[in-house]
Amino acid sequence: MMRGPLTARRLGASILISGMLLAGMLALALIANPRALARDAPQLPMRRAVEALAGGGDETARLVIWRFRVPRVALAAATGAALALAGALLQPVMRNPLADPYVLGVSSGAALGAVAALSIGLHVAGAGPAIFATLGAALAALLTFGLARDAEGRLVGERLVLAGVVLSYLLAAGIMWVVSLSPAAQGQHLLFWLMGSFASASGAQALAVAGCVVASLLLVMPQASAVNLMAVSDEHAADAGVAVERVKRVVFVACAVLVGVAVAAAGSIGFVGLVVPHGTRLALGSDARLGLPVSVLCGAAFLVGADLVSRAFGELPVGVVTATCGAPFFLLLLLRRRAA
Amino acid sequence: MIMPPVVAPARSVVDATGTAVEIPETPQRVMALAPDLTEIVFALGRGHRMVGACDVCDEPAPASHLPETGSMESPSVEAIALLRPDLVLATSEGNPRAVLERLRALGIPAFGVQPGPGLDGVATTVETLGDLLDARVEATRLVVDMRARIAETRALSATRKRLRACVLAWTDPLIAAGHGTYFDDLLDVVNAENACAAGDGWPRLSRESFVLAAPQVILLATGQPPEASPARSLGDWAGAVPAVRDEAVFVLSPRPFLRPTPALGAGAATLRTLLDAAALRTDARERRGDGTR
Repeated sequence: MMRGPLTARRLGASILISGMLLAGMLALALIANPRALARDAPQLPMRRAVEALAGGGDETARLVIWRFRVPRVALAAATGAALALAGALLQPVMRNPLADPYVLGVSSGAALGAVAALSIGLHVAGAGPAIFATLGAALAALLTFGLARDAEGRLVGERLVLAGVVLSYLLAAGIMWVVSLSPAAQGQHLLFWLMGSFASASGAQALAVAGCVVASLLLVMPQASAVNLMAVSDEHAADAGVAVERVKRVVFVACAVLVGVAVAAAGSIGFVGLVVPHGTRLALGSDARLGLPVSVLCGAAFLVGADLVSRAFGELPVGVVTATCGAPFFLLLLLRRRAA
Repeated sequence: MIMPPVVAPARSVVDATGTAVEIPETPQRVMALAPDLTEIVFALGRGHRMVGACDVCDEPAPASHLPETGSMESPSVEAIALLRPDLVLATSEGNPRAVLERLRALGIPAFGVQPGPGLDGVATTVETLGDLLDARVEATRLVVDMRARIAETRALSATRKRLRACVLAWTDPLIAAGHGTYFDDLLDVVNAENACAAGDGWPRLSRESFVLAAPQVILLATGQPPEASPARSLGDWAGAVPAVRDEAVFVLSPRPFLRPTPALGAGAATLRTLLDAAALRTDARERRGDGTR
């Protein structure tokens, strides 16, 4: 394994490898016709897909590739990157291996915000649900982190997970209230949305999420060394001259925005924020300067792959795919670590 | 205290769940937990024997005044027991099986109907209910009438060119009527090919599959009120679909289209007029010579 001190060469090699993984997955998702269940659904032959990608091909192929597949794959990649980055930031800063937007209630807060926006009639592809979802995510994060502090104001690991889980239940109940009280057709619409899918992706959504990922990465990468110190302890980081509370605020804002836009664009998708940063850490060690960019690339590749599986099984909700692939993968990593 | 219904068990009938249900020879207090079953009971001339129906059982008009037994997904066993039915009709398409078992445990005869595939399945349901409700003659009349209307529509549609059509139950995500649905049969009756039958039942489709399927007619069976322009209800991504380009997108009224009842026989005739209109629009565009691809 490539552990040890971070050198420019090691950083470059790791980013190159995960970048190639993402590029391969993107290429596969753009041209492949996965079919396991939806056998009779019309498919675009791979040759026509490649021609259309190259700028040629017939009109229908160009439409399918540029209007549907490129936005869909781009949104999957951007959402995966956003969720993985949120997890990769929360775990060291909270010093909790279970810290993940899902476990901490941040995803549920975002989902409740988005569901509330949709139920008052804001359009799914507009900015309304994204703003509501970001606010929901921020409120949930504030509540979880507020509840997780002890009398001296320090974050306590068990309190954090407990507060997150309880808040998730409460927010899930809120979502079910909104869904149940909506007129039948609208409730159905909300349920479909909650299951998570990239099938209705638009280029604007993909750009919005990708923009937030890039902005967050620019915001947090200068803090990566501080994050490394905080992963040991806040006191240790403060002794080394880190403005601990300021870094936490930056991380919280970044996570709320990342999870908010991701959930608003694609519904609730679990496990990405947990599995991807863990996999990265187990493979490359826990240096955030390496872990953050590599998690972004691998998170993107993971969700693009999950969406490919979703397409193969007749538009299965992608959250189902991430949980099915993610949970066993997570267990495997745990077993490997015990053996090591 | 819930009084057990006064039942004179006259015969034993095996239902779709494989359970032998003891029912009276002529049930007097009937209840239906699904709207299609309620409609069929009324069509069989046994509406006056109904003592309760589900909360969406609104057709025909007298059915909406019956005491409610709760929603299709979670009927209220308590409400049903209080009305002391001597026959409860439930469907495997929407009613939970556990409710049937709880009713039977209370001594209430609960009969599960499994709608078979397609239009033949509708006929089978009518005959089953006719047998249960001592209305065999009425059932035969309904089935013969439905089959005659369908045969007539099939014959009248045969002279028109065959169109590629699809029936959408939902537009985001796209959910289309697949093989084995009565819509699949209805499309065949009106001389249309089901362009979106990507599997059995109600498969989900990706937008790209839908565009590649290139339906010439889209029938919206979403149960939503019609929009000013049905062609736009899919969103602007669908502009390249022939049906959207030719404005051959039609909203199917909930009745008769959304419930598997004998009224689908008349529905077939309505569907034929929609397909005829769509064929005219397709022809007009082909004559103009644009977009014949």
